[in-house]
Amino acid sequence: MSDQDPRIREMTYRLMAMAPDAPQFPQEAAMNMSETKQRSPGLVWTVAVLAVVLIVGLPLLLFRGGGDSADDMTTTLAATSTTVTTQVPTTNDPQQTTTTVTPTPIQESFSVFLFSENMETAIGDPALVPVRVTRNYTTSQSDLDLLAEAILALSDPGLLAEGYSTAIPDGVRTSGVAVAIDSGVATIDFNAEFESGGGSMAMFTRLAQVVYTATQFPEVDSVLFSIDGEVVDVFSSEGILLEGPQTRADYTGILPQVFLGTPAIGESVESPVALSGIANVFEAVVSYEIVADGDVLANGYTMASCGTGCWGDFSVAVDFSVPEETPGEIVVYEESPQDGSRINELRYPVTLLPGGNPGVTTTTGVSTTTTLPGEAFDIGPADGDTVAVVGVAYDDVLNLRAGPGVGYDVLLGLDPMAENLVATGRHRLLESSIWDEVTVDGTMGWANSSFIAYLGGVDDLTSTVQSQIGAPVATGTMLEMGQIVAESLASFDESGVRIVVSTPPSVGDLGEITMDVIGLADDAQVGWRLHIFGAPSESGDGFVLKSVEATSLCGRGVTGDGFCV
Amino acid sequence: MGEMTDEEIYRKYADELVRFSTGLVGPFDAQDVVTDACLHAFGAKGWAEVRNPRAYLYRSVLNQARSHHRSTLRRRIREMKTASRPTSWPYEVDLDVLAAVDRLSVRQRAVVVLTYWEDLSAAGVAQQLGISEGSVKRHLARARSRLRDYLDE
Repeated sequence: MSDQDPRIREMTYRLMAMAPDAPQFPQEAAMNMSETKQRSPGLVWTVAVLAVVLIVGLPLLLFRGGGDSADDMTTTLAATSTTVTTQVPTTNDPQQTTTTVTPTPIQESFSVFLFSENMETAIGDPALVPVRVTRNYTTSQSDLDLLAEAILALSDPGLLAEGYSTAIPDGVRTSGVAVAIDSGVATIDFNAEFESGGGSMAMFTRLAQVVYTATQFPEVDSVLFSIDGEVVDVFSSEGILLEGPQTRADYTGILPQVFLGTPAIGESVESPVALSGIANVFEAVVSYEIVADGDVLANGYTMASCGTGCWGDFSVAVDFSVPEETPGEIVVYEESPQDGSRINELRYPVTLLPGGNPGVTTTTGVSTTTTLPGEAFDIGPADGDTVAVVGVAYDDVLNLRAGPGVGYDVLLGLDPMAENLVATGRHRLLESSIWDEVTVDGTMGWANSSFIAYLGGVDDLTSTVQSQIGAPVATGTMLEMGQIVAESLASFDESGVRIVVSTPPSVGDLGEITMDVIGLADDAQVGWRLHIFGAPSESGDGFVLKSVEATSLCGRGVTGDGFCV
Repeated sequence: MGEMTDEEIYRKYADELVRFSTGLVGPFDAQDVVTDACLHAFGAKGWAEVRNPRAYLYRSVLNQARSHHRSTLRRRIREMKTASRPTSWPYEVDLDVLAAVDRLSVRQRAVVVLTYWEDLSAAGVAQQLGISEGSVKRHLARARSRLRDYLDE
């Protein structure tokens, strides 16, 4: 099952963790009741005590995944692990001071994923960014060594002093970690210090930092967390469930909308530089720039593999040319769909190196899928059926796009009251939306099915509304009238219901407004289009509800006499 | 259905049914819904011929949950918030999660639980609930969309 939104999974686990104990076998209980006319107090008491006792143990039992090969893991760990503790400065080491030969240091570098104090996510949290760290070693380091070093560097005070923050407790650095890599899975063993502190956000970001840092190494695809040699199913007192090895995709929730994974801040890059990362931006368009000394050396845009509401990968090779080593910045951003201004901008200071291979354009990674996204779906308006635009505000339009998904070009803006859409019978199911193909005035395209419905029969709901609200409905404006009427009908259903003004108020002999109530749980009847009429009140400063004509909005089709099927 | 008695069947599935039920109506009424659903199932005419009692009980819980008054969860959340029943519920409650769940229809809740907790495919969920695979996918897409709106707020 693809899992593009770990938050929903986490929410479900939290929900399941609230489950009470199973009640007694009901027939037994029923018999008890019929014999004694009431449940035995002793029995209830026992159940209650049992319940309290189980509170502590139950979530753990629930969360324990089946068939974890914890023993195998430990063996692997022991066989190939390398334990790294903090590198204590060796200047006090007597052996070191007597050494006269200074070995040529071997430079190794890696990225450490920290939170930037001066770049933020869309909601204003510090953004997770890669920071390049270069270390000198006397012997060459394996990737396993570097992985351990990188994990320890996540709470390096030197880095934190440079304007970054971390969710990794300092104790992790001093107590060390053990790492092992096996078939793409890095097992990282911490001590209990790693679970210290509190707050589910802090815990979540802590895990994310480790996962992003570890998966920079090509041989690591995912991370298994382990504490004191035991693979962790439930992390910390916050009860974060770790189901199997964790990947970057499990932690998109904390990323800036445009996340640049490589290059890292502080990295030295030569042309062409490969910019890669993931983004969740309007229409999947990621813009970039390379700047130095206020000059734009290169700019352009690339497409992420998914956009507007979903995360997609992007990768683009960008050419630039500098005469000598130059401090510069790599900038990625999204253009605001409202006004084209830059939003969600990240600026990574880097060192631009001369040479390389300028002039060869090697744009890669632009997704050019020939097949439509999502999967074919068999529920929706049938071929040849006429359907209408619903649930779109009067000052807005429904985009008819070249393909199913917001990443496609807009072909037409459909009027909120358009009733001339002819379905082709093709539908596509995407991760969190369904799209219908329709033809409008000779143009064929795709629109989000949440805004398409059959118009059913018309009912007079005046008395229903009157009795629901009670007493004569009088308001100052028709807009207020519309809101009150729509809300009274929406209250029959659940909170996912949307109310929009699909035709603005007008006043002639009567006041008039059209409201769409959409998103009812009923698959057949998805909503109502309400034509609401108000008579000017006698005092002349408002309206009194006169009538409510409700057109059924049907999701699947309409019978000959106007009922939703 | 083999040789199992109703009570054995109940003991076997009661825990997971209560969890499922918690996903549908929240924790406060989960036990009642399971009790009612099981009484209903065990008393049903065709019960003796049911070949997959687990799926049958799941559907029975879903039906019971759907007839459960849907405003109840919201009322319960309100009660918890105003602490008018502070100590009567012995379990931990996560009101944020319940508020998110409250946004979904009961069927959407069922599909979310079976997908994310039981890790069933759309086909698996469809089989378990006795609805079409297309309906499962649609419920899931709508549920995700509503939950994301909520989670993004």
